[in-house]
Amino acid sequence: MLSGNGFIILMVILVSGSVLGLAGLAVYCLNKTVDQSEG
Amino acid sequence: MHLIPHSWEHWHILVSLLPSVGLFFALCLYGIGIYTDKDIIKRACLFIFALIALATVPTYLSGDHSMTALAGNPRFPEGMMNSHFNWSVAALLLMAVNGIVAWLELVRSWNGRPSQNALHLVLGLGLVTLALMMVAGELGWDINHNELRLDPATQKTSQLWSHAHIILNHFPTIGFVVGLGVYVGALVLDNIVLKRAGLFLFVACAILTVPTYVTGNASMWAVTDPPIEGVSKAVINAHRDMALLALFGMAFTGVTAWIELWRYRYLGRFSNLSLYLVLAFAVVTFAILAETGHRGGQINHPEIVLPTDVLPTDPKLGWMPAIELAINQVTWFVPWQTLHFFGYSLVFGVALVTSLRVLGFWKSMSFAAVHRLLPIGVFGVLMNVFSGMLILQADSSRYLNEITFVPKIIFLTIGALAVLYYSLSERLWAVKAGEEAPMGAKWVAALVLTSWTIVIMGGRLLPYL
Repeated sequence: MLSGNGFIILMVILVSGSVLGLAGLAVYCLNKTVDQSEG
Repeated sequence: MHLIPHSWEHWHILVSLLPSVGLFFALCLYGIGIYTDKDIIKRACLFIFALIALATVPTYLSGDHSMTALAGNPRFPEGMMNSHFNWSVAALLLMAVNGIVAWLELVRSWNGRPSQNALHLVLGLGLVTLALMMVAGELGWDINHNELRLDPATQKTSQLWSHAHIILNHFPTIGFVVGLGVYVGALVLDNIVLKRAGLFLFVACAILTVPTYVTGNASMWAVTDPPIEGVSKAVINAHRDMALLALFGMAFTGVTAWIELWRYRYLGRFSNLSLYLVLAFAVVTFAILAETGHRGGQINHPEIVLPTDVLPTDPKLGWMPAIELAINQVTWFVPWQTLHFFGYSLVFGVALVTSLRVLGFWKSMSFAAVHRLLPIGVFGVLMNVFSGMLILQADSSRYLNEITFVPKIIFLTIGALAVLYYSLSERLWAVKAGEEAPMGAKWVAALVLTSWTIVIMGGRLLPYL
């Protein structure tokens, strides 16, 4: 079982990782559509 | 079907917003049309002015019948109703004149360009009408909202919040109606300028939702602590649940609309799939906004509540009380706060780079090159709106009463609206590598940087002042 602090760290990584990951993926896809049109 | 008004008072609350708040949005769009010299926007606005003028008839009739229905009711003082009536008649008459002039000019210039004199006459009449509408609207809101007249010394949370929310909540809703009208018209006419105008209105309304949501949260405290007779926390919570959904809907519509504006810059065309996706989001959001507004009206408008309406009675039911409980746990608060810090790093970083280019730094890059970075900043704003709203629920009465909260929210709104200029300005888009940006764009860049600096400083100072 995780301690209290360990659980908080896990939650910070999960929430930040998932939201930032989604935003990063969206930015990547948007740039790709523009790159393809320019190429 | 419960959204359809069953009384004159209910009809009046709804239709009276078109000649007042609707006129504000039409005038904003009209000003942009005149500034950018886009005839299609000017014509669309002349048409909207004529439509709004038609709305003066149901506004007057419903208002007149409401006065008869409410006469003798001690909640609605007769003197205040008469004062509202007199100012409203003057405003509605001028609105009708403005609508007739706009319609005549639209018909006269059908096969040519509208005349400058007529356009300026409509602008002048519209501005004077708006001023009269503001007085009439304020007097109208005062009639029912007795809480605005409470002694400030007895209030823990200022009733200025309630006052601000009563006014502000109509802007994203009515603005959205105007935006939806312009957007559908643009799709039918297949006109690019109007499509961009509709998308702009969706983004602007999404930005205005933030101060509306925050003032709503503060108003809840203002009317429940100390409690006000007739105002139920359970009914407020039902409204808050739907307001949260409305915030999601506005955010999805606003961000997809902004992405389409951003992509249009590079592709030079719109994707039909994306345009209809924005429309689908907008229609669903409009339905949510209608229900949110209806539930909001039930809080403090006993005259529109029907005997058959079943209002909630348990203040612990719903999503918002559950979110308040969860976000007060450190295991939920800290992750969202961390995300909030990531968000403002992204927003400020992108705002800094793009604004410094506009101000004359790293001129070896064209503006189009730095404009590519903007989606990162927009996703940062999106992250912070949601994480910020969640963090706010942890101790909203304390946060909202801190002195730096108001400037933070005001400048967040100004900063976000100013960034929109970067994706809309034709002159800025044409700035090539080695070229200076226009002076007007530099002032906007300075405003963007100042605004986001105040937002971050205001937020960081919240726990300490």
